[in-house]
Amino acid sequence: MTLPLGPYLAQVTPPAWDGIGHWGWPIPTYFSLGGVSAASMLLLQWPGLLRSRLSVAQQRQVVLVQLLALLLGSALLVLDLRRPERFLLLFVNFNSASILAIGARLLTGLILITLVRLWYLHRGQAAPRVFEWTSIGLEAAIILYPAALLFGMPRAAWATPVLLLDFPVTAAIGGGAALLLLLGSAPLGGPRPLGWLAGLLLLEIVLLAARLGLVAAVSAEGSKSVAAVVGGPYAPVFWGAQVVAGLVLPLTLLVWPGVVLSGEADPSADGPGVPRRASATGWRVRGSAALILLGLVASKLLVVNAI
Amino acid sequence: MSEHEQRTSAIDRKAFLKQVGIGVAMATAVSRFESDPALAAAGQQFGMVIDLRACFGCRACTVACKAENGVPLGSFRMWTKYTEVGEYPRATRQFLPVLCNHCDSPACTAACPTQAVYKASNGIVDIAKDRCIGCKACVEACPYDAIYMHPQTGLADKCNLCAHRVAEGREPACVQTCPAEALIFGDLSDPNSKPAQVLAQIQGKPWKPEKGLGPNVLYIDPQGALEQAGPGGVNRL
Repeated sequence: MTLPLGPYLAQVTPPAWDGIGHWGWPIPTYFSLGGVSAASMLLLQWPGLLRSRLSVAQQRQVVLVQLLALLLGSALLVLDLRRPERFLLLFVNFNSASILAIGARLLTGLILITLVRLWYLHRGQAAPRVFEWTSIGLEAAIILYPAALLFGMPRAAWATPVLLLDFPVTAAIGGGAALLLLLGSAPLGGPRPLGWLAGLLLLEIVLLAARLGLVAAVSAEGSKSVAAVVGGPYAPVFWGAQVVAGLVLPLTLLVWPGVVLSGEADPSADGPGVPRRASATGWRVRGSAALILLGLVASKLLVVNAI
Repeated sequence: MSEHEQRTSAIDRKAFLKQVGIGVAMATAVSRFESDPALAAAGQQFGMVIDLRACFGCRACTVACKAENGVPLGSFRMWTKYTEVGEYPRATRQFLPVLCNHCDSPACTAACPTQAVYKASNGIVDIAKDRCIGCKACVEACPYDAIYMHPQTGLADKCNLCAHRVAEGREPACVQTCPAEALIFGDLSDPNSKPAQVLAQIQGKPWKPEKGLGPNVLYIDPQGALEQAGPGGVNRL
């Protein structure tokens, strides 16, 4: 006769190593929202790229959405704490060696400066140059900060310099996708307006393969992490959301011959069927952008949790 | 071009890229910070030598630790892993007590945004509960899985070598309880201490030395149990 000790032993035995991190979904989503907002702000401020094609009202709308995304990300950071009422301690006791502490300050700074920029835009004016410049620096730092945070920790899945390249690339892709979702492809127009986005998606596929390959090759711990992602409990999210929905499908839509890469059809052009074509193209662009953002959230969920 | 656009176009590409560079430099510079080695240089460095030749896996250390520190069910400040070494017919079971390694350069102290996790002047890595915000950064940073989130308080908790007992000149509960005297506690920086004298006779091995954190829990492990231990630590098998 066997004694039914299983449930009791489970109470005094640690769970088996599952390669899954402790940050769940709020922190990866915070990283995604921060990165996408900061990258889309950079694209908006990039000289000669976009702003000259947007009215002040459009800029105000875009900056408002960016600010809301930053605030939502910050709210997730606070809500992830089991003791959210203690969040203010983060600003009282500053550890200069903690990248999380520095990142929280950078994000707070960007939120405040974005509020100032929005206020000026509301008055139909440009913010003083010092705010624009500080904002650009903060945006670049925020794009890189999650990668620096993870890279600085002694976990096999994060111990690859590819991570430091991967985060800015995914942020640029997400920032571009967010602007496409908000504005359509016309303001980002040009002879082949969306080729840059397709190029970045291709680059991200290469970086993803390189990162997983390097992590698996370096240590047994890393190999377990990669196995959990590509063939373990995270496989459906990895293959379904990150790879197919977030990379392959948008790339296919973007490089579809004569449809998207040539830009939205000019609605003012003569000829039967043009408006319908323009509309169909617009939906493809926005659909691609939405899929990219979905894949981006999935990618951060995986990179943070599959350790 | 509108007046608004004329004003903002004053930021040319060169200035824009310069600002981007400053931001990137800020982010990369902070990733190179390390915890202050001067913290550990103040004098003592309490630590432990664990003699795996003596340990027979009774887990009395785990029970004593839980009783002493009120560790809740399902969480651990220390734990004894069972590992299989060798192949049949010469296979043996090894017992590997694991706990916080009170590292020289702890990843947890560097990761903690509020300085709640700190290295005391006696070398013990501890958590100041009044500063902890429950962000789990230390939990993620520790390669030994030695830190857990307390289910009742929502704050991080870990082995502090029973600092309250050490302050009274007593040994940690696990050391006092161990019936095989496999856990040898003391000041590793003092050549006359018990663990230092043991280490003078036989070499101690750190767990996960490739992490470069300078652990102060060293094992006498002639059969290679550390290599068989797997990636999980104190709170994961």
